[in-house]
Parts: sequence; C-alpha cells; structure tokens
Amino acid sequence: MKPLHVLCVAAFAALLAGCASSVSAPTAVSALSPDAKAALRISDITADAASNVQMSDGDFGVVCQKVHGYIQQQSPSVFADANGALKMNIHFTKFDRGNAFARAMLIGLGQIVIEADVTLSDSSGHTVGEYKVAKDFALGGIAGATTTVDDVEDGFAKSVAAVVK
Amino acid sequence: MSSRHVAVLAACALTCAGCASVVDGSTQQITIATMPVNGADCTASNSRGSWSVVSPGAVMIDKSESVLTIRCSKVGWLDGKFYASGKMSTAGLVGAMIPYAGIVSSAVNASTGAVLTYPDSYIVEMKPAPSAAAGAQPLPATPTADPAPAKPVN
Repeated sequence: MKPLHVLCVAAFAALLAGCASSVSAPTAVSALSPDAKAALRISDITADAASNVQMSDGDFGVVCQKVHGYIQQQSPSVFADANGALKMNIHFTKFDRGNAFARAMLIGLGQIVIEADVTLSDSSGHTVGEYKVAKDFALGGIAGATTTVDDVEDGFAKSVAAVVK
Repeated sequence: MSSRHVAVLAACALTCAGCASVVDGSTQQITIATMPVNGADCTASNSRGSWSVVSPGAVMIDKSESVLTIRCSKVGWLDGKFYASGKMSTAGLVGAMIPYAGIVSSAVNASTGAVLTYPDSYIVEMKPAPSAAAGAQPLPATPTADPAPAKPVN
C-alpha cells in the first residue's frame, strides 16, 4: 500500500470519528422566547434518568461538566446566581453504551445512543423551556471500534449547549 | 490456510493479546491539584476502588471503563468535584486494529481496564464556603515542589 493510500485511509477514519462529536440540533418541545433567550441566566445544571436507564452519578457528573464547559465557552455570562436565573435539568430517557466489538464487525450493530429531555425551569419549578436532544453513533469498522461513549457524550453536550445559543 | 499459517497467526495473537495491558498496564498515576488553595483531602474513585491524596499530590489508581470521580474537601471551602472519562490508549488502539489478535486483545484490555487511559493531571477548582467568604480570608495557594505522598485507601 502506497503512503498516499495510508494517508487517505487515515484521513477517512478521522473524518468518520468526527461524527461522534458532531452537533445535532435540539428539537424544541416548548421553545424559549427570543426575549427569554436574550436575558437567559442559568444557576445550575442537574441530571437524572428514567427508571429504565442505567447511569451512575459519575455519568451524570461528566455530562453536566461537559455541558457547563461548552455553555461557558459559547456564552460566558450565562452562568449567574442572579434573581430569575433558571435551572437546567437533563433527564436521560436512553443511554446505551453500545458494543465496540459489534460496531467493528458490522455498521449499524452495537450503536451508542443517548437521548434526553432538557428542561429549563424557574425558581418556582415552572418549566419555561423544554427540548429533546438525541445523539447516536452507528459507524462500523475501525471508527466504530475506537469510538467510545465519551466521544458521543461530547457531541451530546454540544447539542445541549446549543439550546441556550 | 496451511497449519503453518495458523500457527503464525496464533503466535501473533498471543503476542499481541492485551497490547494495552502489557504496554500501559492496568494502573495509572494521576496528579491532583486544587485551586486556589492547597492541602485539600481529595479522593479519586471509579468502579475499581477509591484512593485518597492530599493536594497537590500524586496517586496510583486502577484504570477502569467507568467515570473517574475526584472530590476534594477542606474546612472553610465548598467541596470541589471533577469527573473524567477514559480515552482509548494508543496501545489499546493498536491492539484493536490487528485482525484476529484484536479480538483477544480487546477482551483482555477490557477486562483489565487497560484499553482506556484517564488524563494524567487534574486541577480541581474550589470555592470558599459562604461563611468563610464573609469572614476570614482563605489562605492563598502555595506552590509545592514535592507533591505530598499518595495514601491509597484500598
């Protein structure tokens, strides 16, 4: 195999691996009004999961940390303890780590799937915005085998951060 | 496929089995620092156990596919937390890419946690507790040349 071929294969693999952390647009169930978005302040980000979803406190923590980081990166002034600041809750409805070996064997098998309802609520608990965010990864071969749930969490966190963009 | 080819493949598979386990090992040293204050009691934990260290310090942990949680606490300060996921190690990546051997390698690496590697160093941000913030000013961080020795819990 010529060096050029090796480079092409490596570039293609890198391109496919990038899919895991790409942003998928959040779907608005009850969108924030433009005015509310402009004045948006968030005091806290929390996460929980549906009863049929197996996630550890560490899983919740790492996702919240990533979301916090991406929001801070795109709009540093959003985080504040000011009056009227909203609380963001990420309620996971699906969290499937998939199977790296199955992904390596055949595209479509062993998918990584993360789905959640993201709500923004005020201090009285009233929901002022609700979005659905979903991210999955189903590529096979080397890209499938070497992509971890952490890579997909990155893309998921960017998608959640897009809610407040 | 001749028996000689099979023997060569089997030998290759055995040689490469658990590449990451052999090259990287199933343990990893991490360093933990706290900002802006030193001397916090920090605990790193994952599904394989928990280990404590005084910041700034280094500690040897067992690698795992689960999230590594670091909690640091100090009187007068709010607890600081940091979460880290493992990234696939280079040796694990190489092992997974080798046909036939990759299957064995992945199985061995996954069982030892060696396929993933956590970041090597962490800086945990800590904030003064509300009462401390209103009263005495917390001591500033002092650079330490020699990290405190690690104290494994288990």
